[in-house]
Amino acid sequence: MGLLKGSLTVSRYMIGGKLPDGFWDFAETQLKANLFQEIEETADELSVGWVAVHDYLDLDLNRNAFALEPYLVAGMRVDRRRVPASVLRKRHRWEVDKALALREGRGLSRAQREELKEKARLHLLARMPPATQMAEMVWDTVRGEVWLLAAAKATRELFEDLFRRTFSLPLTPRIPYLLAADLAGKAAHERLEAARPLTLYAPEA
Amino acid sequence: MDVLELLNEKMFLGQEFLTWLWYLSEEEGEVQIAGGRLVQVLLGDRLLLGPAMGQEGTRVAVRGREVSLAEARQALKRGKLVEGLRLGLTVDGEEFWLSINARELMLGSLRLPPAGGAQEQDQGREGVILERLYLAEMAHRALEGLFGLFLEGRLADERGGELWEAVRAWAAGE
Repeated sequence: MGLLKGSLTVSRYMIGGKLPDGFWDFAETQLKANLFQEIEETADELSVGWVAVHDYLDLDLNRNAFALEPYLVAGMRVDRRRVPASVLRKRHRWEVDKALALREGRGLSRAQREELKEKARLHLLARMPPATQMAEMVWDTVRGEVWLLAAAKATRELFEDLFRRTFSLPLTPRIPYLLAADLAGKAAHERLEAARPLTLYAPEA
Repeated sequence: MDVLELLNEKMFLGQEFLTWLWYLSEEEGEVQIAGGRLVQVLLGDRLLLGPAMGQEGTRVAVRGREVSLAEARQALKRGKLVEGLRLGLTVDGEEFWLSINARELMLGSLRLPPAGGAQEQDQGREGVILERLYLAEMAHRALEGLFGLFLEGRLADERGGELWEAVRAWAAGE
């Protein structure tokens, strides 16, 4: 699904400001500074970074993989560990029972129970393989328009954060009103501002 | 005003635009957008109507190619507007299918026309991406062209000008 085959879902953004001089060198430096980092051998919950669009295992992202002038294309890879609630409940219960046995009948405070829950969660996280997702990004550097080939709110938020962190450029969602302001032009700006909802309501005669 | 506020306050533009697209699919053949391109709008197999902005009420979902649109037309008369739909766009002979919602006018499940045959097989990954981007942009620009055309008529006066008058007459079955 996406750039190479299948259907596409596109979230659009506009880039504000002027691109830095020597843009493609700048882009390479910034992308390489924010490449995806594997968390397979760690207990980290989340890792977000850039990879090549054609292969999320390509963690080098050389220029010929991202520069399709005037487009910059890259993949945002997201690896995330999640502990299923039922598994956490079971492990938490096991930790609580163990602690209670050591306390010879004295109960556990709320804070102690929370602490044990966190301990159980960290114990399990280290044993969960991370799930991998990838979303493709296309940046039309001439139009100043960026497409993220994904729609989910959580994916968009991760992308917006990664993009801003990588390029330090303002990224504005291309929402209907802003698109309308561009398309209608200055002459119609006041009318657009003043526009109020219309209705098709037709009361029964 | 921040982006979220703008999104909420001006959502009606998206609802009215999608309702107009439905009208176009039934009442007009090809329309000419800025740049001279001819675009034809085809109604797809999904239509979701909801209360106009600021109103309360339930949503009406219509699915399937053979479904009667009578229920959706009734909903229009009750003041509901289109919140999302699946539609086809024919642009310079190329046919695209896509889903679109009123809130963000985001293109979802955009199905591109098949890329160009034998030549394509030799062009490699880069060529495939560029070809698909060209087509995806064509769909976006066509939709923007339609939105521009809609705005031109919709902002003619505070009641939506002749454009909304035509939509109103169509919705009322006149």
